Amino acid sequence: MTHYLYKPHVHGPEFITTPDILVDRLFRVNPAEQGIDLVPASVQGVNTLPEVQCAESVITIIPSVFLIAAGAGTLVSLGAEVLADEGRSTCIARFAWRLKYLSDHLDKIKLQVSGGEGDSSEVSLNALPASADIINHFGDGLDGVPRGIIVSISAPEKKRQCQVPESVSIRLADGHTERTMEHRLNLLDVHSDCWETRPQPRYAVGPQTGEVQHFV
Amino acid sequence: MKVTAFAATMQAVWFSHDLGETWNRPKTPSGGFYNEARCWSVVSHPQRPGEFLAGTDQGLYRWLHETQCWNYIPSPMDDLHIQQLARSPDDPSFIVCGTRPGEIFKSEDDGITWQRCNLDAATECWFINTTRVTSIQFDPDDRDTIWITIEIDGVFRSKDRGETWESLSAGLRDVDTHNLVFFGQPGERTIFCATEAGLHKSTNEGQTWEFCPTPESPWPYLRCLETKKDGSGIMFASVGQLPSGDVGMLLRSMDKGETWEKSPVPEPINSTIWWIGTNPVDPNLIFLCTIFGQIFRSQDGGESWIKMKRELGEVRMIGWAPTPE
Repeated sequence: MTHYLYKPHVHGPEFITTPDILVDRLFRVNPAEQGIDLVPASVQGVNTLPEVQCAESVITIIPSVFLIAAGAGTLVSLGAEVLADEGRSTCIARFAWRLKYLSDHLDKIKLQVSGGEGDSSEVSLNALPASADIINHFGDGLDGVPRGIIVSISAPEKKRQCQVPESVSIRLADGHTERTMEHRLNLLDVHSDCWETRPQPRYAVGPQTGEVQHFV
Repeated sequence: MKVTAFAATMQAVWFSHDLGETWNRPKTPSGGFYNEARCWSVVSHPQRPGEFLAGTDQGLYRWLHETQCWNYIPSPMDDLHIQQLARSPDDPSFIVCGTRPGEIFKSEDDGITWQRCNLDAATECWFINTTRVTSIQFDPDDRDTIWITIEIDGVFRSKDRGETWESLSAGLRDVDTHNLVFFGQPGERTIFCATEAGLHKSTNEGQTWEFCPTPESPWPYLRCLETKKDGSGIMFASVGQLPSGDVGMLLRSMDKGETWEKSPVPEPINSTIWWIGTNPVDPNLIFLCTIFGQIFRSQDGGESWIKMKRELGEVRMIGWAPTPE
């Protein structure tokens, strides 16, 4: 049993709420000829860090939209699947919207990507592979994603080849509410240290001023 | 009898070995958590004298009297807030933890392996955003049954050692629930529930709840419920103006919750009385803490109270256990 503790800032129509949500099942969507194919994946690669360490000079980023189960209905966030020879990371923004307030205008919500090389045209949420089928797959309509589940809906045709180091921005632009949500990923080269030198330890056990019996 | 009192605070766990007159924290190099660790819960167990478990913001820890240090217990809860702990009265190896967010984890092998329970509690709530477990009780008449309260999602019960859970909130004026106590024999017992909107009771094992007025309190916010551990039917209820607030009060009932009176806790009380610490080893020794750090002690079962000189910042739980000889 493992989990990822997702801590989004959920921007609703009036308020921002900040639930801590324990997710322990990740599914990636494979487009299928009929219906959808949800492929289980490990949550251990899920993170919300804005920086990604890369061991390779070129990596692939696939922009993704995520559906996350929450107590007051399914959340929508964005990010990317980061593919490298050494593994795959699922990078999610700490911002989210509530699906219930988007569902009537999915066609006006655009997924946009900048940075790297690839198709730069935007894509509507309702044009993502099987998005409507996925939403309906979980039963009770729009808010039915069960507890603890996160679903990654990727846009493989919008994948980017990125030279490390580079910065990539993935955005959702809601033309109906005129809101935007962005997750910027800074790709860092593990071969170059951020510091020229690293301090060496100066103590065996750290500074000590004397015996301390207890703290009162 | 020597006594170890403990206080779970937002600056680690403090101990007192002189009935609350003075308090101290263990040395930092004792292998435990840092001095400012947020600790919400500490539990003892009569079959494990000198042992305490502490729930913190960086995992679960075990204190042993022999070694005088906190030892980390690996668990899936390291990145959660362990806000409540309980051990089965019959079996200290059966540990139940309640967290923020509102989840229940259990171990039946003394913390070696853990299972996240399939609890259908809300994962979001208004006002505090993230739900949290506010109390865990092993049913006094059926040790396979576990009761929990959740802020904010009501009362839940498992009758199969945490495998399955059901929500039991019908009739509660508010599902911001904080604590439970049980009175009476199986089949005819009464369960009381403290909520943000006052005291409630159930006479049908939580299937329905009814509001119980406590006109002695100027505020409806009830936090902790506790019985005097001598079977006398005396019950205490802590109240406050707000979840923290700037004033508090202790109520006492001599007739199992039928009527209430204000307890003579010295004033001013600086905030809601958050926890009532008892132990059946000596029903007359009771500690109280306010969330903003005041500590009160009674050595006559709640007839009289004195305020301890020491205050401890923000305190979430207080209690005591016999110190091993």
